[in-house]
Amino acid sequence: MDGKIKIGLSDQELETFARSGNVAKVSMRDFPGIIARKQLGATTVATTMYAAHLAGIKVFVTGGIGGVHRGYEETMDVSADLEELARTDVTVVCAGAKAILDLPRTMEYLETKGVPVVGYKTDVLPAFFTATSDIKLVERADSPEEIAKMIIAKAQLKMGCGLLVVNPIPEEYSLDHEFIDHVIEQAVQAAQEQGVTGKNITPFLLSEITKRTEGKSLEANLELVYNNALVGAQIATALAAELAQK
Amino acid sequence: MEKNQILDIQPAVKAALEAGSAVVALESKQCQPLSPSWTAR
Repeated sequence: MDGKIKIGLSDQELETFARSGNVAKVSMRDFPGIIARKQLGATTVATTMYAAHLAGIKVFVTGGIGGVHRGYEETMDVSADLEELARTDVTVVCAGAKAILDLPRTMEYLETKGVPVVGYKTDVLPAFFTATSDIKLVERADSPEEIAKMIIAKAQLKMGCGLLVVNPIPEEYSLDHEFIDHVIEQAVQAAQEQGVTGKNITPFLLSEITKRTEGKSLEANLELVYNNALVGAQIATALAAELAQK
Repeated sequence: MEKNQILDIQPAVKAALEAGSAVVALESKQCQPLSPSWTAR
């Protein structure tokens, strides 16, 4: 906004942002152009990680990260979020990768890049709209303090990458696996039929899924973000306490 | 904290970062540095 990266918005800025019908989706490749032209832009996980790193913020919260898209064999569509997780030292709290993605390949990619993925009170990867999936995790933590210690260990190891905390959507808001998988399949098919690709694919799919679930997916999305905000705040607090002792 | 002309950090956020506060939440209408007790809610 106004040629700057805004870390926090005033009420007026927030209103300007919310009322504008012309807010660009800003991934890393778009960052210089959007700032140079002083356009309004909303950051992806990748660009938010980068901005947090510039500002000295160590933990940030989002809904779900991007990843390897379904049909990767043909499109080579892999979110820049994964590359940023591989090279930027910020902890990201999310409810898993968005379920519209190819989750097994997303996990393979993160493993290849050496990004630690920690399940918060879970042994399996949450799948954004659902609290579980059949993908087993290597790391689990049951308290914010455990995660804070991992963040410090990663810094001492000078790994330079991010740490991904996957925090399941609360069970009461988790959607039925079969129901949401069917809806996602329908939305992916609609995207293919309408020729939607590239940066437009995720907003299109999320919008289609909201329509096809009559708003249930949007409610789940909001609730998982609230839950991530709480856990992210607890991790940040634990990290500050650990660092204060050193 | 690294100074960078391209960043525009809200004053409450900047104060929290400089003080090493753990958490800044966009709660109500104000950004407020929060104490650990907040997270117990």
